[in-house]
Amino acid sequence: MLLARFAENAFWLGRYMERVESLSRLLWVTEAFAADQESDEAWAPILSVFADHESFSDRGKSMTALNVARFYLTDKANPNSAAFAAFMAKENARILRHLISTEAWREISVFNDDLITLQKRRFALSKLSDICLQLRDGCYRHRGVMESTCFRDEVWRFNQLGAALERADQTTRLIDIKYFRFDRDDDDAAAPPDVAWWNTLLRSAAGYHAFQRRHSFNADAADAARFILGDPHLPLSVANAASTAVYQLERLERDFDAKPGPGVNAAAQALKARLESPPKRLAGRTLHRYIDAIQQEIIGLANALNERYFAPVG
Amino acid sequence: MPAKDLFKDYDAGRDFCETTSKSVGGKSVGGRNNPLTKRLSRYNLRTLNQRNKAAERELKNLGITFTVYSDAGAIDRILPFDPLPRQISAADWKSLEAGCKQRVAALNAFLGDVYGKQKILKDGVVPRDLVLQNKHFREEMMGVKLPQGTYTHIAGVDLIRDENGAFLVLEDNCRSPSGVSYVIENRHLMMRSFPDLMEGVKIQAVSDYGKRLRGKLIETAPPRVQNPNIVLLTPGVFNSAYFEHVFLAREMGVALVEGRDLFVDDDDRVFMKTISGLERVHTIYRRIDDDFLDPEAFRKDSMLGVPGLLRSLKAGKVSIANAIGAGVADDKAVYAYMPRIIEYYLGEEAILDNVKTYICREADDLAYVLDNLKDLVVKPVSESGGYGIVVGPKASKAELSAIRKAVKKDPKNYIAQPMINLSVCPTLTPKGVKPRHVDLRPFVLTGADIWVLPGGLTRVAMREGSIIVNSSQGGGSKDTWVMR
Repeated sequence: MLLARFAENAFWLGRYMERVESLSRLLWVTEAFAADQESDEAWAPILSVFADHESFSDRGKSMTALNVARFYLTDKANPNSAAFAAFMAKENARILRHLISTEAWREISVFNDDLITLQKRRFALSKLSDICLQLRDGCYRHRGVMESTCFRDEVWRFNQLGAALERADQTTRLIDIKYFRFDRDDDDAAAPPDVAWWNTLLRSAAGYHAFQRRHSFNADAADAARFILGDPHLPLSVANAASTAVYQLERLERDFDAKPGPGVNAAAQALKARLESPPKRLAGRTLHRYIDAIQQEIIGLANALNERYFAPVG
Repeated sequence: MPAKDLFKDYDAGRDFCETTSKSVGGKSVGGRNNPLTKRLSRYNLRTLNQRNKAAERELKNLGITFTVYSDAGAIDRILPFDPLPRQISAADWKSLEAGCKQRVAALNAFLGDVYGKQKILKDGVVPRDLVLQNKHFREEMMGVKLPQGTYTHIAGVDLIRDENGAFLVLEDNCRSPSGVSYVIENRHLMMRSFPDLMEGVKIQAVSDYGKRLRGKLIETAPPRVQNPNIVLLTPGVFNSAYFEHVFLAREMGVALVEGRDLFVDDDDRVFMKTISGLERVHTIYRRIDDDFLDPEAFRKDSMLGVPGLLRSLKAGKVSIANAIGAGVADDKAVYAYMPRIIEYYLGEEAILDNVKTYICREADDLAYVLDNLKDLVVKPVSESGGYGIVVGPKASKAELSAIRKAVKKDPKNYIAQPMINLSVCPTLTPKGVKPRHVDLRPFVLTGADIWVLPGGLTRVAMREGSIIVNSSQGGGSKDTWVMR
């Protein structure tokens, strides 16, 4: 039976790699949209989404696009940065080395080396979207190598569980940027760049074309939000991520007799119920509050998992 | 012979060369007619160096590394790899293997006696204080019966070769000898990166080490345990040998645990903490020193160990490899007595000679040492890691007179050995194929019987003329081929 400590490392390997991927997406969206606006204002919302205003201003850097981008890409002292998440992913993988494939370790190792090279180069803003895509592709490669080479044991299940939970959480943050950027004071009128914004978001979430196929006519902003939150077929949707998490729990019980138990089951149910009953209006402050509630459910589930699987007995 | 023959300028001088010299009364691996030498002579130096760089890069990517931690983060370093293998003839190996088995059998018999009836001490073959006052002697192990009488399940015998090609034992390692992962990974690397060098060469395989080790651990499991749950206990990712721990856990298919994952209950049973509660553990291959193994019995401040392990061992509910207190057998002073120890327990003459060792606590030897200080290497027996060693031929007058005083004052604390130049092996350098000094560490496993991994770790001093093969001082390693 798998050690509790390894289950936790596998879970966090999944979470951290997913976090890198999501950060690359978040920065890409911001950059893509800011390019239209010619204003550094576009970068402030990221700090809000992660509640990072304070730790960013501690660094004494001015609020420019480049500084915020570096803060989230290469600042290893920032626990919300891609550099930090990639480092933590590797350290978790290091502890799991005897349990994951050599191919997976190799890939994580090479990926980290690439990031270290990136840290040494002081990149310019014009390179940002390239770098984001490169990071994202690295994460895709990671997922592919894991998928192709890892034995489907408890380590795999916990890894996928962590990745799914992080994905659910990060997708809510991706949606929430808009609230911080445009909707803050106005709960009723849609802000002018609405359609363009959602299109960018859909593209970043690899959902733009699928969305067009599903909602070819008269699609509005709320449809886009509903799609990214709740479409069961969109890989990055919160609903899809949540049901993947639940599926991993089922497999842990079925294949390895590692029953989630009442605490985890209740938390998973609560998340599911929350996702099945969205508010009527998926915009503005209502949407923001709903997202906040989903994030609370995700935290609840993570805590329950910690209590059930990772806190060692004895 | 093509103009760019890689071996054209190769000259081992007065040193014994593993590839080109013929040992006295022994067989060489074929010298210039060796198929590998012939094949290599057709290679282009630059391509070979480039291919080796690529191979080393792959070692790094695969994480066959030791890790150095600093404020800047974790840096993974590789052990430099040399693609020109060290070859051992089948005949040489036969006697090496027999010699290693004999030596380790004697080491285990010695440990069983020392922690049992102490006959060898009573018979005055080994001085009593040498053993009982040794810092690795563990009083707590007196009278404890171990399965198969095995104390050093995994032993490493450090060998060098003198100017005549005779193999000599330099040191025994009875606690946690490391390096076996490099033996196997070096072979994998050769097969991956230099298949053309290996093609058609008949070499003994090394890949079943994990299976053999697991077998020995099963044979030495606590009594009546048929299918023991084995774990490998590591100090953790910060240990420089962590890769080897990963490697061995993977090869044996066992959990790689840390002290905090284990737990000893009031019934002296050992458990590990899993996602479904506690699971019984029967055998622990530990890579943690005695001192840190059990804070209940040894160092109280140990964060790495498991309180109660000794208790469980004494109750016969867990096996620990290597045994607590096995270090008393690989002490430098005890080493000097090894030929007598072999004779005492096995009634045989030692197959592998020690490096000639003068025991300063014995009057004749002391007189010889004092007369010949400038030609000898003097070592304090209580130190390790090369501390306090005085190399006569390289020492200043002041150093010689200081060591003379020290030896006279406390002869018991010193041994002395003649200066020995290690053998050399053709090694790839940016300037061509050059002789570089090597040593050899075969790995010996003991359970119901003894098994020796064919070959062992060949370490090579990459710097010209250097005889320091340690990785911390620019040493690398080579694949070691035992010919069939």
